[in-house]
Amino acid sequence: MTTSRRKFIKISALGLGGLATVSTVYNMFGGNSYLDAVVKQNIANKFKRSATYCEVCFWKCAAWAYSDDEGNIQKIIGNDDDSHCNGRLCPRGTGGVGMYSDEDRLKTPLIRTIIDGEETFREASWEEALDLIASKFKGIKETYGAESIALLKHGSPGKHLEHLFNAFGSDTIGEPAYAQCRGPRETGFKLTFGSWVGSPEPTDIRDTKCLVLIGSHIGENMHNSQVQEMSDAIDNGATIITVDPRFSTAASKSQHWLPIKPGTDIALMLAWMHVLIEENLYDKKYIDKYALGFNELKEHVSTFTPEWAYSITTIKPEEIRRTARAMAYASPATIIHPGRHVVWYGDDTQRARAMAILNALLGSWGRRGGFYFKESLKLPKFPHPEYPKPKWTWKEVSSKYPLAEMGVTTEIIRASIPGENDEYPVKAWMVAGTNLTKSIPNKRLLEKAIESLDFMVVIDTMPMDVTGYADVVLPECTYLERYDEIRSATNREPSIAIRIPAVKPKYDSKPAWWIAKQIGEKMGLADQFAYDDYKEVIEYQLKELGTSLEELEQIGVKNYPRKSGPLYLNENDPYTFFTPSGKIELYSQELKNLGFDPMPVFTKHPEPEQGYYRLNYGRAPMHTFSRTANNPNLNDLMKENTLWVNPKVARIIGLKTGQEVWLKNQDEIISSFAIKVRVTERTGFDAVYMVHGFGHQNKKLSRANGKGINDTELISRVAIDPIMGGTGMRGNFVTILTENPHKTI
Amino acid sequence: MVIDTLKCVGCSDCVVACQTENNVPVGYCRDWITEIVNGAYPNVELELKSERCNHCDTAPCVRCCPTGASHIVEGGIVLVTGNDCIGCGACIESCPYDARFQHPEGYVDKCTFCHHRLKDGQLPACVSVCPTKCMYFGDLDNPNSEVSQLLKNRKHKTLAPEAGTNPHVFYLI
Amino acid sequence: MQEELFISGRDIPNIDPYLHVWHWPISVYLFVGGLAAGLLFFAAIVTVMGKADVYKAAVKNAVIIAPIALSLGLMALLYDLTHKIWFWKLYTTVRLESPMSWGAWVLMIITPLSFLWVFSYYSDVFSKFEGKFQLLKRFKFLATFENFLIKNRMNMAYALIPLSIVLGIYTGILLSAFNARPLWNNAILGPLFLTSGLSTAAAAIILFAKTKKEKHFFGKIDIFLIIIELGLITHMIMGFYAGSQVQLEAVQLLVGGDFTLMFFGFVVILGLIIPLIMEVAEYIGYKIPAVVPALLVIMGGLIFRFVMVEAGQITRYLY
Repeated sequence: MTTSRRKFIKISALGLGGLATVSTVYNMFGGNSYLDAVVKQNIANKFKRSATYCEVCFWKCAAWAYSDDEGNIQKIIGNDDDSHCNGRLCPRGTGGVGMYSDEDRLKTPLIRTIIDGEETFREASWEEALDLIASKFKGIKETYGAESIALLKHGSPGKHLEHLFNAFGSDTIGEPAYAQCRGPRETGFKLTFGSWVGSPEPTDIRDTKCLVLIGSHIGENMHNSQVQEMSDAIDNGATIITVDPRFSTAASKSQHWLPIKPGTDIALMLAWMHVLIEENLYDKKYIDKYALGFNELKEHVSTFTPEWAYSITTIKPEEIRRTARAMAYASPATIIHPGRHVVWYGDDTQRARAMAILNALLGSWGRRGGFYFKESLKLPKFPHPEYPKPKWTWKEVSSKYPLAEMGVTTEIIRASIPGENDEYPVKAWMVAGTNLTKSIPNKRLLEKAIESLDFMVVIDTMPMDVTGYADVVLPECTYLERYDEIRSATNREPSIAIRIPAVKPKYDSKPAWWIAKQIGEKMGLADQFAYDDYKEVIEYQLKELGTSLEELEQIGVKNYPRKSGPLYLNENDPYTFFTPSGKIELYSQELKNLGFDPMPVFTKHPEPEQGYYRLNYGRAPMHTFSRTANNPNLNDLMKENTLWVNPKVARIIGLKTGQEVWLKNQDEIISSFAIKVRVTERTGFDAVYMVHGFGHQNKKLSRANGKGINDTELISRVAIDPIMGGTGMRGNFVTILTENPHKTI
Repeated sequence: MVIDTLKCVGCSDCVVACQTENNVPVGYCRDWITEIVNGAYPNVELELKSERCNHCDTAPCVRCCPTGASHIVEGGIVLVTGNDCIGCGACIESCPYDARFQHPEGYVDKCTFCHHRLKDGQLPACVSVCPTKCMYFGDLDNPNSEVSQLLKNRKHKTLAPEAGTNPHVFYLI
Repeated sequence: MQEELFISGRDIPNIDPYLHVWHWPISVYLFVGGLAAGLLFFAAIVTVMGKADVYKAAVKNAVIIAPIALSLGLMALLYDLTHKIWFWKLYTTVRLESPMSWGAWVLMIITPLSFLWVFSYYSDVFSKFEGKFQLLKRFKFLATFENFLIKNRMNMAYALIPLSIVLGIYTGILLSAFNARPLWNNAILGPLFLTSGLSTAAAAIILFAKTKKEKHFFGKIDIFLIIIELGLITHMIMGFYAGSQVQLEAVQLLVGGDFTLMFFGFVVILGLIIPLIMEVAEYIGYKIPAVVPALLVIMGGLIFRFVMVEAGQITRYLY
């Protein structure tokens, strides 16, 4: 007897259908969990697995998204072959399902309009919104030039829009991740070693014997592979030294915690250099072979003794010596971690230089357990006509900062204010994937710039606060619903990962590549977008790389062998660094020529006065900046930030854990919302701490609105790094108000 | 299960992974992270660990269940049969670890050590996702298993041993 | 300073920040359970001792409350279940280690028995009602049934004595079996709840008693029971103070904590000591309306259950 397929389907459908009827009856009585399980079992084997890479943060771990027939994403699991995650996603990656299911997502394009005298948004069709954008852009291009349209971006959507901007002749592009985050360390390390630190950082933590974290809070920042490698290092018995005014999670796992006075890290590092040089603990062979300027450095640090540093940093001289010796004992497998968000006090490039110099003295750059030489795969370019050459770019806008190597966002913002930079005026912004109100300090400057703009477009997945300022808001679909560029990041081995949509875009959201293509076509640039679906671009690139979309759909990640040489320096071979001199520059002639200190010096920074406390901020492992505050799964883990206050300070002011307080900073700016106090011994007496990314004002964020404080709004005093324009944000002081200052009497 | 508190960073990945794997509704959790801070600045100590049902040997929740919905299966895993549970709450009252809760659908829910995954030879969701690899799962009766070796070589503790429940989740300290 | 906190946002309804899974239905049930147990105990023992016609209220009048109370209690319990449709599973198995299972089965037996007991006095107590509706005349089988019950009243009494004691003690053992709640986990709670139940029953009988003899008799019993109850409470509190850290913290809720007013004010003073004084005074000879101490005792019993259920859930081993 043959069972024809049709018959078979009928039977199993009946079976399920029968179960379904019984299950509705059970549903009426409220007891259907058993049946749920049976039905789920039936479906469990029907989960579809799609390759993707996570977009919740910049680490871009490759993952598998499990979705069912009804367009629900069940779970997201890391790809085992990916060196970014080794099969284990971080909590934000695992919680990415919430990004997709969040019902507060932007659903349709919105256009600013005036109804009954009130400025508000009205829903519009894509056609109308895109036409408006294209016509506005064309108008500004004709009047001022394409260069006056700026792109402020972050992440994958930014790549597509960058192509659009370059296509119509603008290179006025910046991302807050440079000048508001890691910019200084890139410049500092480039001046010393000739190469950026980059992302992910090429720190060989899994083989290190001594990890020195200066302000870096690995474990609270969830840099996936670094946290994993730190765990391996702990298993191997590595020494961890943490320099942090706060008892961070990393500090709790350290053998040495140096509770340094904020603002004095350079002094500590100079003292370390002094000890390493005076006690002959530095890597002499390495310095002799690869470095330049040792004698100048030796003379420079000869007066920076640990006793001198003690009076500045409050770290005891024996502790400074002890930790320096521990670092030297482990060298070259010692890492002075460059950190990531390093825009603190305005002399951050110099501090990064100090870190780089220390690494050089310990001989860790290019050595196992220190820093490896990273490599990435160069992606073949999808053919398109040459870009027009703009008359001026971000370089000219940021020209005040000679060593800025990417657009300085704050300069682009300033150039939008008439009178600030009339040579390179910016008239319109497109903001994609970044919540400016949380990333850019000095709210007054930001709002003044936005007021002066002719036009502002915001592309986002959620109604973040920045969308409230836009003229047009475009809803982008999440990373789980679209194709994007092939990921080719730097690592020990080059690898590529693809992102294919696991489910269809929800509501009326669209991918960024489609938005860019539509705007491009409406501006007459169709030849720059010679494809109907971005899938074709990926297929082309994969074919050029010797593989195919089908293969990558099966494996998700493909690793390639290294081509650029060994991971580490070879003792017998010479090596030329990409510095002007070809060697590691302990003394930087380039800085001297530009009129800056060729070697780092300690400068005293402003300190809080009586009754004020330094505002320190950081990360939580379950949130990515402000992006995830409304994500239902991640919001469940942490709904709001708390203000960490030392018990002695709490006693003076009269605070209890859970009490709501408001903050006022040194420029009389008061926080919009309240924050709950956490009285804890983990923070010192002169600073308070909170996690960044809360205090959302947009009421459409049902979970995140009004919860916690937005630390960025309290950062009005910005210390700008003269070398590359980084905006130092840790120089703001707050006082704690126990009564609601917004209540009118 | 053996959890290394020296490596746990309190990221709560185990909490989210359990929720997505087991369809735990938002607002409820089968496992959670606790933080204990001792000392006075700057001499501070911190302990982070992930807690869940301890699948005790002499589980008071199994003892006091009037319908037998709470039961122990092979391997020492304590499970709840949803449709034998009447929702009386006795087991919730009797758990010294507050590991159980009333699921919105009416029955009592808790960590199941991802029993459905163990059958396929996979590890529980929390263990397989932990980025610091601080969670270990295996057979305590087998002296050569990873968990047995860890308990042999490292200092460890259980939670509230004075409650007399003989828990099966050990914390390396 | 020490901090212990959840950092993964755990906030489960009814579990965090304090356990609150059992609400007022459980307190009400424990109270009516004790009350009904006491009433049935007194009814049965008076019958067994042959004094049924002397203490009529105990045997026929007050005991009417028993089946009503038990039904109310059962309804309260059912209301409290969150997975109600499966409640019948309670009766598919007997689990000897689970006090709740004991309770389910004892209730299963004693509730119909109490109805039968009351029905056996139907023509006696409800004579007016019977005069109007003539149920016995109309349904002959009911009349035969009643006669059968009247004949077997002694057997019912013999059965009711152990059952009612088990019911009375079980309300206390139920709580004391939860070793995770330090306030409940002591052996005195069983006898304490039994004594409390008997004392509230005695108070109820006083309310229903028509003869002075009965009032005095049960007044004496009540005095006796209240003294024992005070002794047990003292013993319990001393036991807490001599116990482990968690027990010390637990007793702080009752003594010098959130529940001090309720416990000492309403339960001990208003619910035990003042009625004791009043009943002793009445025994000596002063004129005191018997209703007052009786009501106070009953109120004290109810509030006692409420305090124990609420406070007990707050006490815990960890954090």
